[in-house]
Amino acid sequence: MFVGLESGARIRHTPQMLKIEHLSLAVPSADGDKPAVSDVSLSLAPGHVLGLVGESGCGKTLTAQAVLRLGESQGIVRTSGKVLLDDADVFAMAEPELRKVRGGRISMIFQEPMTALNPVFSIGAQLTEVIRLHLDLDKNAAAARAVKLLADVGLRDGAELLRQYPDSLSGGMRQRVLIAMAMAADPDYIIADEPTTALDVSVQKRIIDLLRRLQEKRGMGMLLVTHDFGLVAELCDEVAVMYAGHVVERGPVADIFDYPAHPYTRALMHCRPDASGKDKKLPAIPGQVPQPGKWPAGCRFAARCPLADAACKAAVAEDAWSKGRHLARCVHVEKVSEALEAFV
Amino acid sequence: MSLLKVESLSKSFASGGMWSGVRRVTHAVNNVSFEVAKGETLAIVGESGSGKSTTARLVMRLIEADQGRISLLGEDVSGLKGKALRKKRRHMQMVFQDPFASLNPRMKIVDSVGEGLRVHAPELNGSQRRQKVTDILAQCGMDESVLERYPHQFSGGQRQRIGIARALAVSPELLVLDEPVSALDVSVQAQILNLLGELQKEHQLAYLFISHDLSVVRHVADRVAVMFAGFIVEQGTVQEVYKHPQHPYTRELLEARPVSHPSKRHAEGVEIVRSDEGVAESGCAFRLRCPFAQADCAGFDARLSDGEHKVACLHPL
Repeated sequence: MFVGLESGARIRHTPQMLKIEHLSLAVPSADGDKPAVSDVSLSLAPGHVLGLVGESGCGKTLTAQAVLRLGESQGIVRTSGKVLLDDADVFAMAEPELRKVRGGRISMIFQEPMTALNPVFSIGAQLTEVIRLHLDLDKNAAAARAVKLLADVGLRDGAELLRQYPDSLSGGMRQRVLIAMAMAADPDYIIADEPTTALDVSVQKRIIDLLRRLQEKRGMGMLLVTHDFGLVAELCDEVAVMYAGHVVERGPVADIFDYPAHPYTRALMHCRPDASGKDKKLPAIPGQVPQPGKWPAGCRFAARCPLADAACKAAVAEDAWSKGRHLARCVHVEKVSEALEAFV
Repeated sequence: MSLLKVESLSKSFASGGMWSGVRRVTHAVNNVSFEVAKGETLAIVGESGSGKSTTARLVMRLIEADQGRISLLGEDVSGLKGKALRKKRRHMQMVFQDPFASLNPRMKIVDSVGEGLRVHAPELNGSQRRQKVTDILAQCGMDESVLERYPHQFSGGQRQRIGIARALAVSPELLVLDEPVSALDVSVQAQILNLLGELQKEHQLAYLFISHDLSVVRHVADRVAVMFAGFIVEQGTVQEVYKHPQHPYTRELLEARPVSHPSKRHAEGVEIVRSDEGVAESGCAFRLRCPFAQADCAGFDARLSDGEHKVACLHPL
């Protein structure tokens, strides 16, 4: 747990769960704020990896960013709910306190390693800035820590690398530098938003292995935002599936893979191309995701769901226990397994 | 006779030199040969920088090759220019990754999709052209209501349907598809892959399908060519290449894919990909990170073997 902490560093206390409770968010638009995330509740324990998975526009990135209140500069507002870190609401924090949390207790890795680094500053300048922002270290100690962090993420020749600029690094190396930066203050939690989406498969594999190794070694909690069930299978302990602003299903990863209980989860898993061959049609989900602001009153997946009936259109189902040990937001959760067995 | 025949195609780009005075030459495509038959899908799979998109652009004659020959329907088109080339383009059309970037934002859908017909079917009058566009859009799953609308009014999946309709309007025999589903969500991706399958059957279309996604390729292709650093390192039927990869790079790519179930995670310490860099300048380009590399790989000319399942490796698996 205390790996990599030198003298002078912040004293760590035992982290508690990171909780999102009934969070709703709205995004600004020409015709007023539109709801984009509704009633999302999640919890992440230290040392665990929670996958937040869904298609574009489902609200997964907004939810993850809300943990650090990153959407505020774009006018995204919290309409209800809380984000609790050690029982303190992140939304109630004053700026200085929030700055300590960002990159200190909770840090973030973004999708685009090309844009997340500043091209006019050296790797060393950017990395030591983060270190000194959060840890009380002098210049030399910060540089030493930077070299050590780079070694931790598999970049040798750290001292040489510190003098280089982002444009001389490959995409995989840049993502490693960003991961090193995220580790700078030994955070309790890390939020990784599509960390490998911009990378090639072979580089992706190495970054996945690195993230898992760091997360296990340091006992960090990780919130992994992704559209890819493959990444969930590789890294997550638990998973929450989002659709049109709702969490529609959540639970332990093996359960969700073995007994997907929500028709959307099930369809999403089955429409991935596989080895079934050229002449077999993929079970595509008809139609498209409803845009924020155009959500129906009842279940938001009803228009595309083979099981939908009058009950679905009437009201949004409360989370219900399904066959495994997980929760699914579907009124027909009991019949999903049998009915969809025939469907897919 | 194959519909498209590409022989020993090469292209290099020069880069740098503005400040440093050091000019570097990148061999983007190296001595690439393949054929595509009527009604068949050949996929070119590779990572960024492998030269797969450059190959697509060379085939479409959007950029000029340094060397090599491209034959369409038995006729050499590599030297054609201007009007003669435009005429041949009726037989091959391209679908791009980002349909938003490939549709003119100021043109109504009816005009975008019908644009090719103005050139290739000048005998049609306005209402005949409109009828043809309506038919093509219907085949691509879009109804008449879209005709008078503009690209920004559509989602990514709908725009890709329009992009495919635009390519199909002139009744080509070959579609060159450059990452056609990479920008789409999985559920929409499945719709577009199904559509491409239906259209291929109905019109006996040949596809040259460029992709980085091995799962998509496995689903759509009959044959596959794997590219690395500008070379085709392996080529064969999808069944053969996926079941019995012979090039160490192909095997690495296949094994590096995310697992399909949490129970299939690789044990800790198992290293599938040995390094994320290192393209050798001479000999086999993959040898610096190849677990089976030997001294003679440095002198290898990267030539593909003969036969149905071809591999460019001195020590195939």
